[in-house]
Amino acid sequence: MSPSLSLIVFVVAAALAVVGQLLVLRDGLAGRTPAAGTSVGARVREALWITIPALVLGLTLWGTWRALPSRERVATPVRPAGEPVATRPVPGVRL
Amino acid sequence: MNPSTISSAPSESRTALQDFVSLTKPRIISLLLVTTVAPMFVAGDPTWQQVLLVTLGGYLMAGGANAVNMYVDRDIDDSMARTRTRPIPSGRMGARAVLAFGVAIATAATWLLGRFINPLTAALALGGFYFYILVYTRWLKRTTPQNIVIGGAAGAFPPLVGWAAVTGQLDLTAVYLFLIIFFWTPPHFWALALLKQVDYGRAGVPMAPLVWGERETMNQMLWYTFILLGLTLLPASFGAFGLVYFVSALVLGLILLYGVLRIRRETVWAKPAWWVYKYSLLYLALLFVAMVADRALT
Repeated sequence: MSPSLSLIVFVVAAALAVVGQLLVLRDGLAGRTPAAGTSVGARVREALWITIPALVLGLTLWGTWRALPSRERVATPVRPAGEPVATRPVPGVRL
Repeated sequence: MNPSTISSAPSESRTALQDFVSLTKPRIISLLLVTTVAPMFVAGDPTWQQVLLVTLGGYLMAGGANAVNMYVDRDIDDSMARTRTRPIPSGRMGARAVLAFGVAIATAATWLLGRFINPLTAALALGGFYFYILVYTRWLKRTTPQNIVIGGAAGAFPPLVGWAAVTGQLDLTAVYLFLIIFFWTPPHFWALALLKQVDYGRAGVPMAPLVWGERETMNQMLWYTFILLGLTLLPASFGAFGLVYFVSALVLGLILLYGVLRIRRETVWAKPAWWVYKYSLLYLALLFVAMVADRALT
């Protein structure tokens, strides 16, 4: 996959995941009316369970952005003529 | 010798064997094994001995977790039609025997994976076991409608096990395999929960349709399907998979999305809900097969 195509796939797929996650957060944190008798502690725990996957998703997207083959090309300033192109290792970010 | 003794002995032993096998929930494990073994071929080039040992270890660990789960849930299994015929509520097996069996085979799995594969693989498999028993069954299942969201992480350990068995480490692709199963679980399980909500209500399990209502559960299924579709496409962006996987993930995901939309759209949603439940099983298996096919073809 070409670097520009991989960037497009990343943007579209990440947008889909982020929109889905934001809708989950919206409904979970603000949208749903808590059931009668729900304690504050239970609501806090509920919010925690909704937030943790969102944070993990955010971290994963950040890691993916760093691993994109196109990222360096986008972020690197124009190099002087004749200077060799920097190469990236094959993706596979180790934890 | 009494002829009736001769004829009944094999039948009784077969029943006991069937009960032991049923404690491990073999049908559910078959999908877990697909999501364990497929990542091994994505991660590298495993030997047949590695595949055999990981399959056996994975079966024993998941089977042990399922048996211990039946022990922990023995007080509510009798109140649900779906679980009433299990060995403990039906009185065919004692609770302690089931617990001992579950712990024994999980211990055997830990030894097998640690001794013949590597410590990380054994630790991950054992982590999945404890997460399922302690976090899902003991803690979340009866306390929050988020039970299967967070608890779904237990079912997401198998690809990490398969990956670690071949590479001895975890990387970004392995994280994606974990997250794909994690975010697949809500639309899959809530489709079943919509259909079995009376059963869950009788057992006092706060599944989403009972707490949030059917409409909100259907909305949540759709939001999680959006996340799932995005997540399944993302590995192609950083070169983990190629075109074969990308097209497969897109087509399979769009079919799932269509199914979930049908549940929300139709007034009589039982049929589409059942369809989504069954298709989501096929979806996950085919998605992992597509990963292997992609690696083999590109």
